[in-house]
Amino acid sequence: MATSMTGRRLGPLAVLLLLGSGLAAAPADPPDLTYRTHANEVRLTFSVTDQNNHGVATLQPSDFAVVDTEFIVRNFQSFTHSDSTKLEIALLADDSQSIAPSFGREISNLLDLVAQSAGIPEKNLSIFSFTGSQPKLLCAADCRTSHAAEHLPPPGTGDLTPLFDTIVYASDFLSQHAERDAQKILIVLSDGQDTVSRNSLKDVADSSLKHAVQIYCIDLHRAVSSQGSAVLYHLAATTGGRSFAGPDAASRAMNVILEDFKASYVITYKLPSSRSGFHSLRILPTHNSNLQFRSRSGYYFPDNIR
Amino acid sequence: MKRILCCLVALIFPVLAAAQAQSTQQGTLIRMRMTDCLGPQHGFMAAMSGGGKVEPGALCPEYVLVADKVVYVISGKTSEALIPLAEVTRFRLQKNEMLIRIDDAQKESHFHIKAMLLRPEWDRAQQREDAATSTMSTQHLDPAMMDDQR
Repeated sequence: MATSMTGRRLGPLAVLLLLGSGLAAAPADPPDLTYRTHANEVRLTFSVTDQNNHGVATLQPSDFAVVDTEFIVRNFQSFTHSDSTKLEIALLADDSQSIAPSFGREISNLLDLVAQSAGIPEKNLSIFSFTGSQPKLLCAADCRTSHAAEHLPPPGTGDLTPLFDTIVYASDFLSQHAERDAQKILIVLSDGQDTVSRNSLKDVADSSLKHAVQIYCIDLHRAVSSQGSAVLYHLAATTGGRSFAGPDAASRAMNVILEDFKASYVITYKLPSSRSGFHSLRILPTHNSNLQFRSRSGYYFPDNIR
Repeated sequence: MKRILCCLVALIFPVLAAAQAQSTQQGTLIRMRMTDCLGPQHGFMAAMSGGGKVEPGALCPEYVLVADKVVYVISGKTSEALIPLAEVTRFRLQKNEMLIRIDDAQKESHFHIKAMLLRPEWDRAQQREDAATSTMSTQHLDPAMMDDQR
């Protein structure tokens, strides 16, 4: 996501204007202020694994390059290892009838695993579901241990499935509540089927990319492959997460999330092109071809930032 | 006789190695994109043998490689033909193709050369592009800030 940087003189100017407007005390005709900014930095979180699918905790900036749209970027303004206290996790529990048989088991497994995961503060966990056609926040900051079960809806109660709307809702929540440098992860337990959302699949992907939310999916569909599974896979691939299916999917997902996070890095670099629209992103190794990088697939650069 | 042969080999090998080293050039990859794969370059032979077919819709990596005097636009022959994006890429030219040894691979990878441009021409084109970009971005700035910058 491109971050906004104001001009050098804009900050003091804004303060002076605000003070001036306060002193003038003319509420009837407030001054029509326009703040203009421009973005010149891209911030990107990614994880890296070796040929054995193990996280690489000793990565150096010279080990990789970013392909932003088509520009190869090797000079980074910053390069840091992710901080475990800044992992913000949201859990989305799809309790629709189509996934009822496995819902309870998977969600309780996942909550146990999150509870056992050292280093993730309790305040950084929230759980979402939906009631009828509306997204719903079940709990935030107090979801762990025994409290969590009390917030869960009974399995198989939902006849409508606003899955996409709830993902957008959860992404917005993560964006608003997470710290600036936090890595935002949304774990979706679902069969990928949506019946009633106003948002489309593209809206979901765009919203997640905009807020830099990585989506990890746990596919609860009973069939081996389905349209819903393809939806979950697409969301995970687009946002730099992963999709899991089959037995013990929850425990495997949580292990992978923690493994990914241990080998997770944040870089910033100068925006290589001010072209508006979608900027695709890809990270590739500079010498060791066995390294696999995972990040969101791109970001949107607005036409005119104001 | 064996001694003479050995001596000849000992003399010729370094010369060949030096010639190989001299033909190797180096440059920097500055751009990459995925684009439609090119068909076989030698159409008739490839068509007759059935080889070199490109899957419809397949995407291959295309790179811009800037060398000392020439800028090359090269394209991989398969979607897997990815070059490590190191600061320096060593290559050599052979029969209208670019050969790049990737890591410690036994064989060099072959890339199609799609375009070549002399470095001064490329630099001028880049300057024009940069100027156009900066003009576009300054149009978004506040006039007061523009005055301030002057």
